[in-house]
Amino acid sequence: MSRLSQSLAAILRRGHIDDVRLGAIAEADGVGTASELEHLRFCRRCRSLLVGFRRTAGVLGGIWTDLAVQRGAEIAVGAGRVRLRRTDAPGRPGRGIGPRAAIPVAMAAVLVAVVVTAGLMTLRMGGLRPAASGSGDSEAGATPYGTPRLTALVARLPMGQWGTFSWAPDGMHVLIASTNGSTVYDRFGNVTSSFGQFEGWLDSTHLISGDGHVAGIDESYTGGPTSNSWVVANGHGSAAIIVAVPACTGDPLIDWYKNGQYVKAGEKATPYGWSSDGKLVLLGHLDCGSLDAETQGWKGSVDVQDFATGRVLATVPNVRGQMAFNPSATRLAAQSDQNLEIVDIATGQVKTVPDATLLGWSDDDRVYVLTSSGSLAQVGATAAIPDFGGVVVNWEVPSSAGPALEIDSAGHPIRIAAANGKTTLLDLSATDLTAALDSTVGNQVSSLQKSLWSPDGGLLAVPSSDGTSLALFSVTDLPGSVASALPTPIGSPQAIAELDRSAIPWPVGGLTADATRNAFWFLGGDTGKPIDLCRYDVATAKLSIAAIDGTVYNEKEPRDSLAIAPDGKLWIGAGLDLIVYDPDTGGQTHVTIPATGPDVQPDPTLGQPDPWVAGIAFDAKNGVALVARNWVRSLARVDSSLRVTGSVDVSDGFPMTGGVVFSGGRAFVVADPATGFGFGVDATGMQTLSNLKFSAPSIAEWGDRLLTAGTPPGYIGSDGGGAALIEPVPATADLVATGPNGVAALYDARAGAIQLRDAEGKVSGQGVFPAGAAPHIVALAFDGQGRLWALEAGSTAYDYSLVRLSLGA
Amino acid sequence: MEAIAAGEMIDLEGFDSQYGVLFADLTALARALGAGPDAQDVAQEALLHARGHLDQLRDPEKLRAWVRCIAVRGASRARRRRVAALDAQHVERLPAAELPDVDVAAAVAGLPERERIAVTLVYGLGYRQDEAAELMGVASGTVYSSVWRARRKLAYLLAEDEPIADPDGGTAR
Repeated sequence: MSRLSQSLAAILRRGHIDDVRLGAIAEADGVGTASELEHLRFCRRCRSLLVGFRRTAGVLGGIWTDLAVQRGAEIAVGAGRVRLRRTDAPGRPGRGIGPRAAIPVAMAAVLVAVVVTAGLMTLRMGGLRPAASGSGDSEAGATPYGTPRLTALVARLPMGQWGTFSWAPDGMHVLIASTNGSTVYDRFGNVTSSFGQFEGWLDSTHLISGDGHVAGIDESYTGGPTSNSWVVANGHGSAAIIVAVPACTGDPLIDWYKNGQYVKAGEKATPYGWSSDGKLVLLGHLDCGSLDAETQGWKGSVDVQDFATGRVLATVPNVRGQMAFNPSATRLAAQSDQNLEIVDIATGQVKTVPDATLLGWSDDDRVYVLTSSGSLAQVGATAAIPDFGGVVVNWEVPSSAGPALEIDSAGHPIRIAAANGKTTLLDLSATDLTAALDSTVGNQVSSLQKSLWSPDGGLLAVPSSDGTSLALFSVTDLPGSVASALPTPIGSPQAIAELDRSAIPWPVGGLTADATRNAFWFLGGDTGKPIDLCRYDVATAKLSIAAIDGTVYNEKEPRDSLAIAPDGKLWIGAGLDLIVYDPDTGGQTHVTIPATGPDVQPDPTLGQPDPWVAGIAFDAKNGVALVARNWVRSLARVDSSLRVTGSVDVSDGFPMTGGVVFSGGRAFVVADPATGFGFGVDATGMQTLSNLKFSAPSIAEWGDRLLTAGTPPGYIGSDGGGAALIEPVPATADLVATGPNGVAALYDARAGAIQLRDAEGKVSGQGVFPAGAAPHIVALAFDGQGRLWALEAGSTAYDYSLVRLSLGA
Repeated sequence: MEAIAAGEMIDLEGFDSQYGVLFADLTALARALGAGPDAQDVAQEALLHARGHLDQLRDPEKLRAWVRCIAVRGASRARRRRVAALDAQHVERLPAAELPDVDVAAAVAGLPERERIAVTLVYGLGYRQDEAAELMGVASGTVYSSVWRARRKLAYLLAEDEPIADPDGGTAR
């Protein structure tokens, strides 16, 4: 029976065209039979449904986007009335809780620096960790906030210049404020909004800027003053706003934001900060005119003021250093040079603890200090404790570098210490302290400590030792949590461990990972003998070797190169020859690229042409190889059958021995490794991409970017423009490598430091070899699991090894 | 030369190194499938679950598909919770087309769960039907039939002129 007959029979049998057929006809290339078309002429139902299918195809095949849907839609289809009303998108929240007040400001940079430095210093010191959020319930959405559950580094955020940070009062966001602007991030490190310089939390959903402007958290207000201006907000609807800074005559002039109103006060005082409940404000009175202030930091009295009444509850004289309220804000600990002053706010009574440096409160009644002998001590801070002002508990620890203290919810000290390039976190109640402390603090800048913990205790924000980035750590109570996770990098580099070392019997110069990254390939051999093609199996650590016929290895002047084609075959440059090695069969195919032509230039060191094959890269789209040769002014295009099919012009001739990378239609060549000079040229043959130059001794394809070593390292985007890496950026990188899922590594040989980055370009780890113990790394490569391997050269010509590197292991 | 060895089982270190990329991927997927504010939690739960069951992953190449599959289930649960518990609006990936008198987005959102996920994965996120089947943990034919049923329901809804009886029981035009 013909298709026509079938359709006709079906229509006659059921009266209508089958839905499947209507759906097929409605497709873009769908065609109905004559009988179906005839039926559609007369059947309104089928015609209407055909329109429905066509509309459906248009709807589903059109643009999709994130839309708000009302709950009532869940039962709309297939159960009753189907005409649905479109749901309006929710309105934006209001633009703030108070009027904008534009305040002309003229700020002196010196005080900005002092106060911001004070902020930075507080980052190095801890605060009380609030009570844990709790349940550890694994049900999504059971906790009040979206909280990373995997205890680990959540994100590393750039701090910018003079950057400081603060948690929103409800802990749902963290604000990084700097001269570059202020950025609000959620608890997963995603950018929520951007603001002007040095904003502050007015409450959990509003920020206030130095011009008194109040903006909602989702508004991305970037107006406001461009000069130095900042706020000290209490997170409870009030803020001190610094509006003018007389040139080094002491305190700035401040106005207030209070009860939704801008209050022009012009008060001369230094606002240090607020108690956690926002009721008490610390106002300093500085004298910066003395030599003592210039060399050791400003010193002055600090008033504890009840903000509601303006009454001064207590005054602490001669404050120079850190201050911290106890959890209930009934006492204040304030540094006064070598001594610590503990103030009972209710009575105004001051107790001096001699030779003690404030680290943080343990609980309401005890404070942790660093003693002059370098030990860590817990000191009684109330007369209710028998030894008021005396040592309750003392831990003898060596003293040398970098104090920072955190205290967990149970009041136990958890130590984060930066020493010798390592960051360590320890629970003193259970572990011997191995990290060193530092009682040597330079310029004492008075400031109020702030908590590194999110208010719910679920996240820990730790600035890097150089202050350029902020690491967010998830701290959960799930298995494998705090104890195992926090010793991972916290800002400072960790020691690099060398694992799985395999000796290589010859000098080699590079590592080439295959497509699966389960094996590394490289060239080596004995001088005067054929080049050995070597394969190192990552899983078994087995080294396999195949001699390349018709080649001669020269240890002192290697003239070879290696690349893996998209089809898995290995292309070897050996002198003037190009050799393709089939790893499945062991077969070898040789071809010699002509050593003459207008582009072939004399090698200055020889005085004659020597166009040996110095680098090979592949255009993954068509499998064509681009071959760079010594002092040849073009790259040869070579197809899979080893035929030279064309060339890509370059501006001049160079050694071309620094490597070739194909990325985004361009061929990038490190032309002269000695100087790092390199160039990128259009390799599409269409001349649609601009040529460019760069300076980098090592390059690697990094997604749609080109990662470049150099001083500083950076990358070249797909548009051909150079760009800076996300902070922190090492000053120099000598080697770069990229791996699976966008990971990348940069190696600074002089510092012996390695920095790892994720696909987004953020720093995901930093490591450093012990001082004086950095190996001579010739090449880096990632395996399929994202682990970093190094080819290391030892003290002799035959002392090479392949080593897996682990940061912090 | 020896043959290239098969990949090792992925270890915790390898898994953690991919955490950031996977998290972003899963969050976007969960949000598109209607997990709303819980999308990050869903992604986190999926990664946490996967991390604790890495021994069940025999092929490291399948890691992404595996955690996506977990996240699809998680997103579905999260959406059900939100729909049951909240009377407020929620946001998910839906077609942006506008037709007179018909809320197309709400219609797609109102499809039965399996049909909605299948349509969203295939049309909204661009997965092939076999890929969608892998993510949903069902056979390819199931995805095919789910997409077809969804298309037919929407066709009845979007048909012009007089209502048509929907063979699945609903009243169309």
